[in-house]
This record gives sequence, C-alpha cells and structure tokens, in this order.
Amino acid sequence: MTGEASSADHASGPRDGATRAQATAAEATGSVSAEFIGVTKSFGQVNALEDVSLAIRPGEFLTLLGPSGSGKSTLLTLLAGFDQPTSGTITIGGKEQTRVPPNRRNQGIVFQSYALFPHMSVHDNLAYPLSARGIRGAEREQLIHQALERVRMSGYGGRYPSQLSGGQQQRVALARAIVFNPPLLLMDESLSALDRNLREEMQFELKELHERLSATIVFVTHDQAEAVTMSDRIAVLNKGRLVQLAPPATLYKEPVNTFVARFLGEANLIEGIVDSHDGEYVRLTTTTGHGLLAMSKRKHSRGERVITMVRPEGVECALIRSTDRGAAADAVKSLPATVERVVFLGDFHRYWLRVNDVQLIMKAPCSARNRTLEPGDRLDLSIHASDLRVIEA
Amino acid sequence: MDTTSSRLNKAMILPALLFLLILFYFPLAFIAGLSVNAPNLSAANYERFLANETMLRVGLRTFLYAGLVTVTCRVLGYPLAVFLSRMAKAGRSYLLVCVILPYLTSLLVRTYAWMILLSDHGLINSALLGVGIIDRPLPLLYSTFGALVGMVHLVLPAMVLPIYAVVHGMNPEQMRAAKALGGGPLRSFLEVFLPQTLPGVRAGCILVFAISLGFYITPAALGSPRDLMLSNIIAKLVESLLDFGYASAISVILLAATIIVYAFLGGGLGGMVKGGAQGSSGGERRASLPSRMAKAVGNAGPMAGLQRWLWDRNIGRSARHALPFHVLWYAFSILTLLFLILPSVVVVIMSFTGEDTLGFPPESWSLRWYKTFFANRTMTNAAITSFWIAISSSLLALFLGITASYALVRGNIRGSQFLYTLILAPMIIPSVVAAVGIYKVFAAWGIIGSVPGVLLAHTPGSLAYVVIILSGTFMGLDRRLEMASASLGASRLRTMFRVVLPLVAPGILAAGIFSFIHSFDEIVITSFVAGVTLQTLPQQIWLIIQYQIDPQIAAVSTMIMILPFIALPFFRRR
Repeated sequence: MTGEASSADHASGPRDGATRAQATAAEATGSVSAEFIGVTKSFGQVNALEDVSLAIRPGEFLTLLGPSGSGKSTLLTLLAGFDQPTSGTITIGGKEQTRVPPNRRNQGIVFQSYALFPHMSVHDNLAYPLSARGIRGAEREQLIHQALERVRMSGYGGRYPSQLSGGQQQRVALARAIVFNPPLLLMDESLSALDRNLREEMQFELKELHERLSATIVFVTHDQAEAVTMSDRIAVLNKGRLVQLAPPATLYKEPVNTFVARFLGEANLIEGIVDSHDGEYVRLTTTTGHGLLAMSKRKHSRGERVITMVRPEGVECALIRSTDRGAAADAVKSLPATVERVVFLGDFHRYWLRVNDVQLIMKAPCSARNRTLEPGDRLDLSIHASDLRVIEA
Repeated sequence: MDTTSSRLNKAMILPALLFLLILFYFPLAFIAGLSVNAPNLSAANYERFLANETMLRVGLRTFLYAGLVTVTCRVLGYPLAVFLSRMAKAGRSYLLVCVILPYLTSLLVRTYAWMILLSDHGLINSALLGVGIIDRPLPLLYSTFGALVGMVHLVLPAMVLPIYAVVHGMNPEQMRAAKALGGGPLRSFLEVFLPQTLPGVRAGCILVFAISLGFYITPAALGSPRDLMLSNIIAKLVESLLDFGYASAISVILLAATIIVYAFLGGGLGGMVKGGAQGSSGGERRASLPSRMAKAVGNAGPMAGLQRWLWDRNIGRSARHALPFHVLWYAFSILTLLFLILPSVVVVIMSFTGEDTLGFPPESWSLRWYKTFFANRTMTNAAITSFWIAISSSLLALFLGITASYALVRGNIRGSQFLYTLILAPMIIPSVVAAVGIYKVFAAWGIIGSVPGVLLAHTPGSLAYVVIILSGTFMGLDRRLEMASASLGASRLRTMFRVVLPLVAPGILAAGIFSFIHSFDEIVITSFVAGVTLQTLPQQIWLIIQYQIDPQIAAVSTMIMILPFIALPFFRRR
C-alpha cells in the first residue's frame, strides 16, 4: 500500500489488523507518525473518549470513522491541539506533544467549513502560514505557486474566497493546509459540505494527492463509503472507544463485532450454537434449526452461543443460477427461504428473505442470465463458509 | 483552546469590569449609603419622601406617564414594526432608516424639534389655523400633551425595533400554512401570528417603560411645571438645595423601580446574549435573577433588534401576505413613520429660515443662523470641547469594550450573563441617578469640571453600546477561523491582528460611532460633572432652549443630525 511505498525512511510498518500490541510494536520500530496512548477525554460526567490507544503510521491515509458522538472529532481536536486530554499522552513525530498549543504543532488542518479567511485573497490565505514561519520573498511565492498547482487552482491567487465555488474553496483550504509541507495533515469531515458528484471527484483527487505528497493524512468522516474508498486503514469508533483498526477490506470481511458489521455495509446476522470446532471452521446450528459452516479466528467450545455474519452478496440461491464455487459440498449449507419483498436497484436486485423467524437480505446482480424472483417464491439459499464469519461469541 | 489562552480570554473582561466598578457602581453604592446616612444611619430620608404629598404625587405621575408612553408606543409601534418586516427588501431598508435615524439623533435635538412643532406659530398650530379648525393657537407647548408627545417620539424606536426583530425572524411560510389550513386572514393573524410576536412586544414594553421612568430633559423642556417627573425633582434637590441625602433616597427609589421592571417583568425573547447566537426563542427555563436581568437587558435592548438586523445574515425573506385590514394598517404605519421623521425634517427646514422667529413656514430663506453659530465663540468652543471629549471617551470605550466583548464571547466565563448585565446596565439606569452618584464621588476626587472627569463619566454609557454591538459581532465571527489561524502556525497576537480584528473592523467602526454619538449628545450626567467652567455643546443648547426657541439651535441641530448619517452605511448589509 501507499503507506509503505512512500515511507522509505521508516522501513517496515506492521501490516493489517493492528491491535494495541501491534501499535506499540510499531512505536518500537520508530515507524509512527503520531500516537495516542491511553487517551481519555471527559466533558463533565461524560467520557467523550475512553482509553483510546492508536498509532498512526507515516505516510498512511487513516480514517477515523464513527457515528456522531462516537468521539472521532474529539480525537482529531486533541491531535490538532485545540483541546487537551483528561488523561493519557499524545506523541507526534516521537515527541510528547499532549499540551503543545496548535500553533506549535506544525500540522495542516482542513476544516469542514474550510475556515478560509474571507478578508484575504487566495494568495494571502496561502501566504499566511508561511509568513507565520518567517518564510518570505521568492521562496514563499514558489511554495504558494506549487501548492496551488497541486490542487489545480493555479491562476486563482487573486480571487477572494467568496468568489469561489464550494469545490474551489475546498481545494484552496487543502492548498493552505499543505503549503508549508506539514508531515501530518488532518481533515475534519472535509468533504461533507460538497454535493455528491463533486465529493466523489475530490475523493479521487485527494487520494491522488496523498500518493504524491507522501504526507500522513488523518481523515474524519461519518460516511462509511467515503472511508472505504479512501483509506489505507480505518479506525472505527463508537461511544468514545476504538472498536477496530484495520484496512477497509478486513473491516468489511472480518468485523470484530455486530457494531462494525452493521456500520460498514449491510450485514445479515445469524445466531447459532457451536456443534464442533475444527481449525478455522466452526460447525453450528442456527436458531432456526439449520446446520451451517462458518469461519472463525477464535476458539469455541461446543454449545457456545455465537453470532455469525454474512454480507448480502454472500447469500446465494440456486434458483437464480447454479453457484460456480459451491463445488466443495461440505463448505456450503443450504437454508430454505421465502421471498418477502423485492426491490430493483438497477444493477442489482435486493431481496428480503425469511428463514423461519430470521430475515436475510440478498443482493443478486441483474444480468440477463438471472431470473427475477417474486414475493412468495420458495428457494434454497446457500452460504459459502468463507462468507459466513463468527463475529461475536 | 489550550488552558493558558482561555485564561487570557477570561482575563480580558477585567479592564472593563474594574472601570465600571470604580466609576459607575461605586458611585451608585455611594448614594445608596448617602440615602440612609442622615447623618446617622436612619430611614429618615425615605420617611420624608413618603410623608410628602407633593413628592408622592410626582412619583405616581412618573409611573403614570411611563405607563401612558408605553401604551401609546405599543399602539403605534406594533403595526409599524409588522409593516416594516413585511416590506420588500429594497424599500424596507429605506423605511427602517426612518426608525433608526431618530434613534441615533440627539435627544436634545429631537426635544428641540418638538418645541418648534408645538409652539404657537409652529407647524401644528399654523396648519390648524390655516384650515380654520381653531381660531387661536392651542397651548400645546409646555403642556402635559406636549411632554407626552415628545416622550413617545423619543422612545418609539425602542418599541419598534425589538418587535421588528421578532417578526423578521419568523418563518413567513407559517402564515401561508395557516391560510392553507383554512384560517382567514384575521384568524391566522390572531391565532398564529400575534402570539409569536408577543415576546418582542413584551421586550419593547419593558424597555420603553424603564426608559420612560428616567425621563428628565423632555418633561422639563416640553411640559408644564406640573409635568415634572422624579428625575427632575432629584436634579432640583441637588442643584438648588444641595440636599444630597434626600436626592439620594429618591434616586434609590427610582433605581429600584427600574431594576424591578427589568428583573421581574423581564425575560422572554431569546435574544442576543448566547440565545441569540442560536437564534432560539424557546426553551425558557427558570433562571436566576441576575441571568433574567441580563436577558431582559440584553435581549430587550433596542440595540438587540438593531443588531439582529445588522448581523443576522439571513437573507431577508420578504413575503407580502395580506395583513388584516391591510389598507388601514399600511396607512396607519405610514402616518407613524411620518410622526417619527417629521420633527427632524422640520428642524432642517427651519435652520434655513431668514426670520428671527420660527414661524412655520418660514417667509424667507438664509444661512444667517449658521453664520450666527460659527461667529459665536461660546458655541464653537463648546462644540470643540464636546468633540474631543467624545473622541477620547469613544477610544477608551472601544479599548474596554473590545476586550470585554471578546472575553464574554470567547472566554467561556461562568456567570457571563451577570457580567453582561453589569456592563449593559448604564444604558438602562436613569441618567440622573448615575449623575448624582458620579457627581458626589468625582467631587471627592476633585475632577469636577475637568475634561478627564467628563469623559470618564461618559464612558460607562458608551461602553454599553460598544459591548452590545461588538459581542454580536464576535458571536458572528466563526471560531474556526481562529482555530485555522492557530493550526497554520500563527501566534495569538498574529491571529488577533491579522484575522480577528480585520474581520470585526466594521463592527468596531459602528461601535465607535455609536459611542461617539452617545458622548457627544450626553447632557444629564454632564450637567452635574462639568461644573461651571467646562461647557459642552449639549449644555449650551440646553441652556438656550430652556429659555427661548432660538433658530440658531436649528442650525446646530441640523449639523448634529449629520452624525447618524455617517453611521448609516454600517447598517447596510454587504
């Protein structure tokens, strides 16, 4: 990933699925850009953050994702230095910076509202951080020119923020945050104010910029689709706690609990009782009385209650077309189901199915080869063991 | 923000607070002490007041007049405020100026204007004689009628602006919804519109009533001796009888009445202090006395209405739905507007008269009264003195007010509502009451009759205007701009000078002009503190108009009226 590619000086970063132990290990090897260690932030009686430890790797695009009130913005505020944690430490570039004010942290911040200075031209907005650092004259102009070029806004230096469109303001805000080459770039819901098309365009550009800049980016969003498309790693927060920190694909496929499963994409949750456990495979009986085979990374004992998850695209049905990967008969179990509702989505059909008292969602591509099911149709579902994960015990 | 800077933010309230404690609240406490020290601790002065039938009658009259003025303002002001808020945007800003201008125009000038209008040869009598309704001039000037008309004219903007602010903030679709749901115009008005405007009405009434309790100049200039109010009695006791104990006791009574009106009748209208920032008017919780007072003072201030109009960036949603009896309604509103601006217009016209008297209309035109003024050394010197006092008082008020407003908005101070009250109170407390206290204290310090003495005495009032305007300005300043500045590596000082101050510059200018006008126009406190040696322009004008209706004053007044025009561009939203 780009994280590794662009951080030549910090040779080996730990790979996916960093737990706290791995994060500490990363610190030991020196490949940490910034780190939260046991950070708690309380506002009166309420804990906005509870004992959060999180290491940010140099060069990575890390997204803080969570519903509103999850603590993701508080985390960013602490990293920026606008507030201090109630307890715990924050290090940046290997140095303890917990109580250093924001103007001495040398981080670029892109605010949700952009916070461009309305009384200054684009050029002067960009010159501001440079003159605060004593950079003047030709060097300053050179840096401004470069930054504007990077966000494809050359020639707009003389304009005022009010003369720019939302997307252009966004670019200028980005340029202002990178013009002094900060090692760490923080973005607080920076794309949320844009309309959908512009947002997707900016997502793409930002990703590209990240690859060129070799800067570390910490990005806050509540939009899971945005998080998934852009991030090297995502830190999922809920109720002030760090729930899971992993690359998007891992989060999607192997969520650690039902919260992550539901927050990232659609999830079908099936409860069951473990019959036997063999390596990664778990044989279980669902509450609906059907036998299923699932994957698990934990140890389970016979008779244990577990929750498994399968994504809508992992639910398959022989009636639509014969599964081409169901060859390993022991890995696929079938469930008898009834179609309750069908919604046409253009590229997909979404089916609401019922297996006894459990509701499942299935997504099937609308290709000419597939027939459309009708409400009331009865069918046999199959779920491949590698699509069915035990996520909570 | 980090802890050190937030401590600094809080500390910025201190200069203004110290200033007010020493120069405003200490004098008030001083007269409270004086009132029960006759010469030993006793309530003798209060007993004297209660035992004196004449005094009691004056006290009663003060409340009666304040009540009458309030009711009249309400009747005139409500239709006008609603009318204005329903106007299309372009026309509205011009008509609003007709309300704002009198508000910014010197109190003395406006009182003088009524003297011209009400005199035997004035516009009203001339018109009535001309039409033939009367065959000899009505005794309008120096009558109860004259005093009340003058007072209503003075405080009417204070009724219109809070109501306007509330109506302007209402969603016009509500009235459409009310109609769509089957209500006729009258029913929609009574059941949907009117109830929502009541907070504004209440704020306006409280404000008008409290201001009216403290009337001093107007009853003395336009009324008969039987129209004098408590303020006049207090001034008389001090000026001619030097009976400070008695004057103090009456001052305390007047002060208490004012505070009671604010504290117990106040509230409502989610206004500028905190609530205004979110634009909410609901969610009234039971609040402590100081915070209710603060709300009442802060919210009800005509400045609050003005301020909303100034800084609220909401696009004026003008929706002209028919009001009930709208033709009558419009006609009535336009007449009220005429009532507001006519006196100023007449003064300007009369300043160009070629005659020796102010009969209306003038029979010849000239600039002779301007020449008279400029040839009159006493007048020009007084004008220069007033100018310098106003400039220095404004600069002082700006320094104290900028720091205090920033602290109030950004300092996250506990009890900030109470601090607001303390800072805004000089706007509300009857000038004569403050004047007695300040006079006694300044006499002890030996600064009576000095320029520093007068400018220090003016500054609490100026400060209130500065804070009410600038706290609104700072509230409108996006805090994230300061955060962005810090994140870009700027120190606090750089942030202050490069980001904060440039962005609030229009507000600072407006505040400066307001405090200049306040000081340049101040007469009540000045007449106590200036002694006999120092003469300000308002003192000169007051001296003259107490005895004659001199056309020279029309010329001075016209020039003074230019001041608010300088302020006007700042009210235009960019």
